[in-house]
Amino acid sequence: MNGMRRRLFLWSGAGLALLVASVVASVSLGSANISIGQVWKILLHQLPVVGDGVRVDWPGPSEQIILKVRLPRVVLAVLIGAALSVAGAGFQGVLRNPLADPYTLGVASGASVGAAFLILFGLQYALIGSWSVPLAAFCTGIATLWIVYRLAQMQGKLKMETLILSGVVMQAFLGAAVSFMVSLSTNVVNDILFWIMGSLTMRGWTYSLLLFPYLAAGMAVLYGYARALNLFALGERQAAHLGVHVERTKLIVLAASTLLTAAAVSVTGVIGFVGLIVPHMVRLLVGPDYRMILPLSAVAGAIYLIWADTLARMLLSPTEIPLGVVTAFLGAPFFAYLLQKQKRTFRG
Amino acid sequence: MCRDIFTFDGIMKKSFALLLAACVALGSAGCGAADRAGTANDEAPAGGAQPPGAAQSGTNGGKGAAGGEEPAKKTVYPLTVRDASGKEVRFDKPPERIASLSPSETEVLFALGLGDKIVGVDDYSNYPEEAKNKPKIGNLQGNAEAIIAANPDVVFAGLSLNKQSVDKLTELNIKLFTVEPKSLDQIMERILLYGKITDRQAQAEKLVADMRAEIKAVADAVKDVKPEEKKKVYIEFSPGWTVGSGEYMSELIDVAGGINVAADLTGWKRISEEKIIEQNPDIIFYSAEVPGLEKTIRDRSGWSQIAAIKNNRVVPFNPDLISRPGPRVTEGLREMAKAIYPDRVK
Repeated sequence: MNGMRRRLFLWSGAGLALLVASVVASVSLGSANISIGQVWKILLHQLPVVGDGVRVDWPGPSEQIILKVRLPRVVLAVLIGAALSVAGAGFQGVLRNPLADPYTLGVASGASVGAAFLILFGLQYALIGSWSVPLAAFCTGIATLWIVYRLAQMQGKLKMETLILSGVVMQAFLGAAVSFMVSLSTNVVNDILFWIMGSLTMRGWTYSLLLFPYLAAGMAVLYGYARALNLFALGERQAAHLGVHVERTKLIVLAASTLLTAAAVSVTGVIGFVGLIVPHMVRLLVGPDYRMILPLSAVAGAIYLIWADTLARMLLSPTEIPLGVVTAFLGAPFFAYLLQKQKRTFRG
Repeated sequence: MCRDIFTFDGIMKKSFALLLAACVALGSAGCGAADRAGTANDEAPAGGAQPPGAAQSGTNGGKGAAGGEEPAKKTVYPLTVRDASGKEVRFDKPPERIASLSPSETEVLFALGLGDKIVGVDDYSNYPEEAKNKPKIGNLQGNAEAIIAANPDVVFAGLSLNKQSVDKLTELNIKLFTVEPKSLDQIMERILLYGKITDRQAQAEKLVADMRAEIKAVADAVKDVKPEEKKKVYIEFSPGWTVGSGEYMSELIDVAGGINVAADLTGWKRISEEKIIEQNPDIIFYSAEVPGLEKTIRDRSGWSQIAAIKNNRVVPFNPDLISRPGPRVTEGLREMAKAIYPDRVK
C-alpha cells in the first residue's frame, strides 16, 4: 500500500510537472505573433501581488489573445483530455475489453446527431446562442445511452456482451442518421463534418468554467470505484465473491463515464483515440492498478490533448486541422511503439 | 449560395483599355464581323489571365461608351463560345428554353428580359419574384432527371457543379454552359456574354453600363480617403468563415475603400480568431441570414476589445446582394461602402 502510494506520488509529480510545462509551451504558441517574453509578462500581470510589479508594454489585442483565446483553449484541452481519458479507463475496466473506448456505447454518434441537426437547419446560434449545439448534443448523447441501456437490460441484469452489441447497433444507426443529414445539406457539409471531427476553436472560458465542476465530480466518482475495477479484472463472479456490488458498480461506472464523455463531446465534437489510447499507455507504464491508472490517465490525457491541439492549430497556421485527425495521427503510431517495446520486454 | 472566386484586376485600367479596344473594333466592324464574333479565343470569361485588349466582351461592334446610339446589335449565329471549363459550346440559334442552376445566373437572365424563356431554376433562386414560380430543377449538386424533364436548350451554371452531373448532362446532350466570374469585371463580362448568346446585347450593355456607373460612383465617393484613414473590414459570410484576396467579395471591400483584414489569405477560409483580434478591424460585416450570428460574434471570447465591437460597428449584410456574383452585386457594393464610410457615400 505504501509502495503504491509512493509510486503514485512520484508519477503524479512527474506528470503534473510535464503538464505545467505543456501549458506554458502551448500558451506561448499561436498564429498571432506574440513573443514569449510578452506572453509571460501578460500572464504574470494577472497574478494578485506579483502582477502589479509588471509594467504594461504590450498592445491591447495581445492581452485579449493570450487571456481570452489561448489560455481558455489550453484549459479546455486539459479538462477534455482528462475527462475522455478517465472515461476511457472506466469503460475498459468495467467492460474488461481493451478495445473499449468512451464511444463504445454510441455516445459519439448520438451527440453528433443533435449537433448535425442544428447545423443543418442553420440553428447553431439560435435560441441560446453558442450553447445551442452543446445542449442539443448532450441531450441526444444521453438519450442514446438510455436507449442502449434499455436494450441491453435483461431481467434487471446487464450483460456486458449485450451492452457492447447494443452500443454497436446504435452507433451504426445514428451514424447513418448523421450521414443522411450530411447528404441533405449543401452549404453546411463542411461545418457538420468539422464539428464531428472535433475542435477546440472559439470556445472561450464559458464552457470550461461550466464543465469543470461536472468533470471533477465525474472523475471523483470514478476514482471511488478504482478498487472495484481492480477486482473486476478477475471476472464478475469472482469480484462478487470478494464483496463488490457488481450490478451497481457496472451501472455507476458506465453512467459516470458516459456523462463525462457526453459532456466532452457536446462541447468539442468527437475527439477519438484519447479515451482508447491514453489508459493503455498509462497501463504500460505503471501497471494494472486502477488506483494509479485513473488519476494518471487524467494527467496524461490532458498533456496529450494539449499537444494535439497545439499541433492542430500550428502546423498549417492559420488553417486549423480538426483535432480528432491529429489525435489519431499522433496516437496510433505512438501506441504501436509502446506495444513493440512491451513485446520486447516479454520476450526477455 | 454560389461561392465563386474572383481576382481584383483594376477596374479603371480595364475600362480604359476596353474603350481603346472598342475604338479599334469599331473601325473594323464592317468587315467580317461574323467571323470575328465566331472566334473562340475572344470569349474566355473566366480565364483570368486575358490581356485587356483581347477581352472584347464579345459584342459585334465593340462597346459603345454611352450605349443606345447605334441600332440594337444582333448576334450572328452559329456562335461558338468557350465556357469557364474551357469547353467550346456552339449555339445555332438563340436559345428558346433556358435553365439556370444558380441564383446569380437566374438574376442575370431575368435582368436581360429572358423571363419567359426560362424553363427551370435552382432551389435557391428567389429574385426576381417571377423566379420563385419557375419549376425547380435542382441545386448545385445537379439532379439530372429534373433538368432533363425541363428540356432546356442550354443550362447556365457555376463551375462548382459536381463533375458527375456535368458528365451525365454531357452524355445526354444537354448543353451546359459554366461560368466562374472571379472579379467585378468578369461578372460584367459574363453578363455581356449571356447577352450575346441569347441575342439580348442591348439589354446586356445597358445593364453593364448601369453597373459600371454604380461602381464608378462608389469609387469616386471614396477616392479621397487617405491610405492611413482607410477602415479595416472583416467580413464573415458564414459562421466561422471569411474571404481572402482573389475573390470578388474581397474586391468589393477594396472598391468600397476598405482594407480586408484577411487579405493575406486567398480564397474562402476559416477564420483564425487570434489573427482577427490582432488585426483589430474597424467594422465587421456578417451574413444576415444566420440567426443569432451577431450575438455570437459579439460574445466571442477576447473579441470585446476589437474596435468594431467597441464602437458598435457590427453590420449585417444581405447575402443575396453580396454572396451572389450577379447584377445586384453593385447594389451590395454601395451598401457596403455606405456602411464603411457613411459620411462619404450616400
